[in-house]
Amino acid sequence: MPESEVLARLEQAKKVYRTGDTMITALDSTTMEVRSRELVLVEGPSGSGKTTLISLIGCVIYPTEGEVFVRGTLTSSLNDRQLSRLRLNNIGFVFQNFNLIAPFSALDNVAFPLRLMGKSGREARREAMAQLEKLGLADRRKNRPRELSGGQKQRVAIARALATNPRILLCDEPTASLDHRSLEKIMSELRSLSREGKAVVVVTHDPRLEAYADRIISVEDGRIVDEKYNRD
Amino acid sequence: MFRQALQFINYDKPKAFGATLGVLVAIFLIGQQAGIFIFLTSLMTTLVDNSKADIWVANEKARDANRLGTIDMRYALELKSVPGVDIVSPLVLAGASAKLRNGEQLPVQLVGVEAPEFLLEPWRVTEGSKFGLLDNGGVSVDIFDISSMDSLEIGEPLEISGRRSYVKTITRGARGFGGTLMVTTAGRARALGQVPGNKASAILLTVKEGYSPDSVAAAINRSFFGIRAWERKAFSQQTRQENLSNSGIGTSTFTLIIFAIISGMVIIGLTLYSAAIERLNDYATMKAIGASNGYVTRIILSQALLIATVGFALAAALLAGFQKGIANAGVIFDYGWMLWAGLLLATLLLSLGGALLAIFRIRKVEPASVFR
Repeated sequence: MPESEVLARLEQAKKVYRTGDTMITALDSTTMEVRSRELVLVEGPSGSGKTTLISLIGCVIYPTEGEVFVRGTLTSSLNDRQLSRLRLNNIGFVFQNFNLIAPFSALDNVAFPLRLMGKSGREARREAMAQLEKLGLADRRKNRPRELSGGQKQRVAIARALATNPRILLCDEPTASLDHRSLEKIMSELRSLSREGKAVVVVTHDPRLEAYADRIISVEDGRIVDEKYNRD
Repeated sequence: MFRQALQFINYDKPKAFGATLGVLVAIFLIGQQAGIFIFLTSLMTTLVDNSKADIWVANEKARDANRLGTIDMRYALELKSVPGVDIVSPLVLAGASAKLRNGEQLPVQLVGVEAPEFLLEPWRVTEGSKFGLLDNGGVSVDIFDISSMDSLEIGEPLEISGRRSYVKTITRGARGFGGTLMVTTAGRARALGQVPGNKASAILLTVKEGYSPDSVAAAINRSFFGIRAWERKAFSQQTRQENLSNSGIGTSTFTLIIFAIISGMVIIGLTLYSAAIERLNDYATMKAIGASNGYVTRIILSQALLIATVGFALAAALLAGFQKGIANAGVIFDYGWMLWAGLLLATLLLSLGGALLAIFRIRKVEPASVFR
């Protein structure tokens, strides 16, 4: 079996939000790694710091203290533009509410990150079409998000996240609105993506997902309180 | 980029329509005011601009070609001796009252010119010719100044200052700033307007080849007292400046244009801002995926540019219609490429300026907000 590599690393990363005069520590000094070929589940109650953790790994926020490395790059050394580029090239997102761009068709949603990478419109749409075909959505390519069902939106969101072939896939409650069959299908897909060499991080409340995870991290009050490995 | 901007516009048609309407109304109002302004300023200088004279010589106090005062005709003889002067021709402006065949009374300004030089001849002639003015009682009239124009014909009689005159030349749009212009011979203008034979309103000059009007005018101004020589364009400019500073036309037009720009910018700004607010989540998603602030800024600017293009095209079509329609009422003007360029610039200013508010808001959106 090929060796896994560290794709993201948090070193004593802390995130504090300021609301008026109040300082809220969303994530206390946390050290962790995300490696290729693993599916990591991040569990915890609402407000525990899961979202902050995934936001730091996803480079959408800077840590208040400590350091975050993504594929060896220290994120706090990058400006807005460089950080955007780092996200684009390395990280795919699947959001809880899908967050498909409403004015775009399914095809254009998937093509969007490819356009950001500098591909021509035609090339981006061709590659996006291939992704949609893989997920059985070719016939819905012209539909806008509001014309798609929840499951279809989910698949478009996954197609978009995978379009740029990122090494890290971050999924925020990806099965929240899915029935058991769809859940199984999505989680199996995410697991096989991890086996192909990606790091898949899934934030969830759903204990049913534990069966698919290689590692389960529990977060409470802004700290990692437990970390266990599934050996199967 | 434009494709994505177009998709945003297409998704929220009512707001795109509102912003386009904002551009259309603002640009149309600016163009309309500018058109009227061009027309009025062209009327101010119409006598000078339509003359063939290189130099206008008038009373030293005259600053407006429509209010010249009088100078002694002896200057005409003396001016002939100035090196470089070619043709010397007096111009007589005189107020009179015309009574039309239908009984209508009309205050007119007679413009008396000398033949055969005709250094100021009737312009925009549609019927007859300048030579008709040499006939007994011959005058030119403009169809827009005469309410009974349907019956206006060459040879039709009218009474000017109690004397019988005849329409010998008909013009379309040769109108004066101070009132109705009627061109006739200098002698007839003197007789009908009761101007003494030894007086003229101005003396029009042409210069010989090889001489510049500026240097000849300067030579006249050095040698003569009581009169002042103006190079034609300089006198036109002086006349415009004099009228604008005394009439308030410039100030009121400028104020209206500024208000049109402000109101247009507010309409467009608020519409684009409200459209951006509704799509905050989409822009945040774009940023989370990897779009930089610069990229989303360009998407919003592209939307503004597309709206500006459509708004400008519609406004230009309406203005062309307005120009044509108002020309039928005798308000004839030409926008010219510079004004069109100015309107295009104003459109860009409105649209891109209006987009600023939306841009500032979108740039502040944190990509992390997509996780909340």
